[in-house]
Amino acid sequence: MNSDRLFDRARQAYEWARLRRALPHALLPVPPLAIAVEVCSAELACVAGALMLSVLLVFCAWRGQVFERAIAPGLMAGLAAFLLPLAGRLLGGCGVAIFAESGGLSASFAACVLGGALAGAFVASRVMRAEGERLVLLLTATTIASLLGSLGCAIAGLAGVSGMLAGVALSAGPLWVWGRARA
Amino acid sequence: MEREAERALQDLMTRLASGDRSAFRPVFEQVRPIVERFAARGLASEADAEDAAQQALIKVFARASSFDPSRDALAWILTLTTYEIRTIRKKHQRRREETSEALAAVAGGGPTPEAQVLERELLEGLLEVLGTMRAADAEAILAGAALIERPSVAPATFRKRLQRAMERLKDAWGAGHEQ
Repeated sequence: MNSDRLFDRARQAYEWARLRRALPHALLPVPPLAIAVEVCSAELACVAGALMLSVLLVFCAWRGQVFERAIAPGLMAGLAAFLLPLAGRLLGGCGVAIFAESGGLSASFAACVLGGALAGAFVASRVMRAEGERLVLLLTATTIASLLGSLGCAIAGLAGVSGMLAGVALSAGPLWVWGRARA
Repeated sequence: MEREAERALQDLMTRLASGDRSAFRPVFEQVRPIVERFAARGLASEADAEDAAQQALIKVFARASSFDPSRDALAWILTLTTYEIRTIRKKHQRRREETSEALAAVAGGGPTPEAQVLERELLEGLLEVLGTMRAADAEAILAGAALIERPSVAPATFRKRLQRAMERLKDAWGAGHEQ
């Protein structure tokens, strides 16, 4: 076998092995999706969010390096953004409307914002301690956290998801800037 | 292999394991001649050595993502190559031995199928432990077992190296098989 062909075969073997290793990550969103679908009627939105999260997780695991390093902090941060609105749900009802109709939905919305803020702060704090491409790490981990959080925030509708995203951005952004200024 | 080159290979394998694709070509260019030389020492036929080297090289890259950076990269690569050399040797041995020959050997007091399985399992366990040892020790043991050519040093020097390598092998085997 000539050198180029051997190189190509070795490269294919490497990439296929990395993909096989990454594929199980696609199952990670399944448990939160099951909970989200059980709790809320926005099933389509939850499934779409879970699918996007699955694809992103597989990509990050396959790509490796900073992308793979973003998975753990992203998922841990996302858990807060996912669970808080579900806890807030206990105080009121589930809604798909954009605007709150009752105090219960406001509690879920507030929980989404708070969850997003906690998620953003957690990711930013982990990124500041990391080596290497911090911006890529921050963006990837916050995207993972946001997608996971959106599964829980779907109970507060579009407003909840937007509130969670705003919380992530408003906490991660300033912390990131502050961390860079200190460095 | 010189220390500097070994360290460079270790660094490249660690990067490749983490997904750094820029390490791919340098690893390929460094590992290919190592694997080819090693296979040529272990197999008489040039065609067989080429087959073993190609299979080993593909296996190195297929398993690169699960390479443990705490292990010695060169020893790990040589262990994978040794598996391929043994596979080809076994294929030739099976072709030579007909079923009746094997039965005749058992009837005549040769090794039983159970003994052959045990020997194969012991050899596989040995190769696994070799993968955790330093390359120089693995090389001495493989040369002592006549799986590869002896390095060109004085016989007394080789005996000392082999003795030290066997002691370290016993420790590594004991640690790995404590249960």
